[in-house]
Amino acid sequence: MKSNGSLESMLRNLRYQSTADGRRQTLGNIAHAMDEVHAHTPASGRLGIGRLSMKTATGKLALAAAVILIVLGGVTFWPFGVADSCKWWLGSPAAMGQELLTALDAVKAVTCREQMVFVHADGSEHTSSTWTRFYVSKDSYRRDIYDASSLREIQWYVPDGNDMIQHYVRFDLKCYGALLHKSSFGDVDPVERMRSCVGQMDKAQRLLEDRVVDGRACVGFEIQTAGDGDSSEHRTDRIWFDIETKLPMRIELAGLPVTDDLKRTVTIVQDQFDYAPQLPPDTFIPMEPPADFVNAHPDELQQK
Amino acid sequence: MLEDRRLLLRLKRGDREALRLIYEEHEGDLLTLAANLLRDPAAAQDVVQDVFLGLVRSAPRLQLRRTLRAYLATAVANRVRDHYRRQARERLAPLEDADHVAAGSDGPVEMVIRSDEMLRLRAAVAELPYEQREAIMLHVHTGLKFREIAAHQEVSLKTAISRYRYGLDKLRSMLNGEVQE
Repeated sequence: MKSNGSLESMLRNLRYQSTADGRRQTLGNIAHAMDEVHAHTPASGRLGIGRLSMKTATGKLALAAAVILIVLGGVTFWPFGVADSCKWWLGSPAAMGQELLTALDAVKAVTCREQMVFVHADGSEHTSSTWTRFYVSKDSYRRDIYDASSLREIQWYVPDGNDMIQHYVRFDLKCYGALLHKSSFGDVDPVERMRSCVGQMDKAQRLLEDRVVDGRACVGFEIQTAGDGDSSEHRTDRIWFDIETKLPMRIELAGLPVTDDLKRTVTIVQDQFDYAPQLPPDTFIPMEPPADFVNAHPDELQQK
Repeated sequence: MLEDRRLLLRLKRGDREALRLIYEEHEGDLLTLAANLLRDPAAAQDVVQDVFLGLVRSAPRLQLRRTLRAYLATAVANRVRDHYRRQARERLAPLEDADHVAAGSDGPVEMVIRSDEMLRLRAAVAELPYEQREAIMLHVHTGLKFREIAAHQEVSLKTAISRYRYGLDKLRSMLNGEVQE
């Protein structure tokens, strides 16, 4: 009696092959058909640029102006106007990852926004009104936490040997204090997060649709990550890079579990990246708390 | 998957090298799939060519949502079904007659291993109900997952797995006594 395994193995050997001449001829036929397709398909169709509907006089005028610009001024439309040799994202994943890391290495300071989007079982989404603005330099880090438009808290993370001191001022609770972290702030540092994402680029499963993020033409990748060890967490990372600078412009970490709530997941979204921020010199220096603020941990005050 | 997307992007731009890479990567498995489903190796070659022609013609609009292998494998399976439907409509050679074609000269397409054992296996596979044969060949030769086979056959995951298992059981029964463990 054959076992399933040996039967499957026999079936795998039930293979057919065509002759070398047959393959060459077939490939030639297909290549010829492809050439014909390209000879008869406008470039816009091949490259996925949507057809413009020019029904109004304004639209027609705009189209005419655009045509004149292209003809006279040589305007190129990102990202499709890029020469193929410049499309670094079509290169090998290893080389691409190295290029992206090199771009990140050159970053001296960056600011960005971080938001949490709750995703319900039915697919509906709710963006938390609490959001954060990060300020990151080579060795210091600050996060300003907002509730809608009101600044709730500022945290400064200042290096202290191998550790990190977190200074905080809570404006809503009128308190301040400092905490010692026995490590760096790497796990929440957006640049380190970017490094982590970029390090996974060779595992990217999907090239996302080209997208303009904060006014910059970007190319995006999707990476599915299985949970480590026994964790059942499956996360989807999506990251969009500026085509020109190769720096991240939007990062989405989707599918994160919400504690004690199996019906929801959370997506952390980082955007509004500024890699050349004009920051005041005291950005990373903890502020002197107002005189009426008390030195206390927020938990102590909230429990009262 | 990302590599597939890159190749498809290049294909959209009419890159012949990308076409060659895709063809050489998948042609053998697709031909094997088609030949085992059709029981007519010569017709299988036409099916594979048609699938690649369909790919280059639809490439400009194609949005790849799964692997290129899965896309091409299901395209082959769909064309084989069309082939049978057309045959039934036109009342051409009954399906059983196709075996006589396959048993003779394979023409430009041939079995890789032509032993008595493999010929018996081929004959046994040809006896399987089509849905079972399709489930087995899609899984064994193109690595399609059972959920992908279920989606293609428009049945539940359980049914797709059952078709695969029942098919193997039948093959084992047919081959029993002729091949030893």
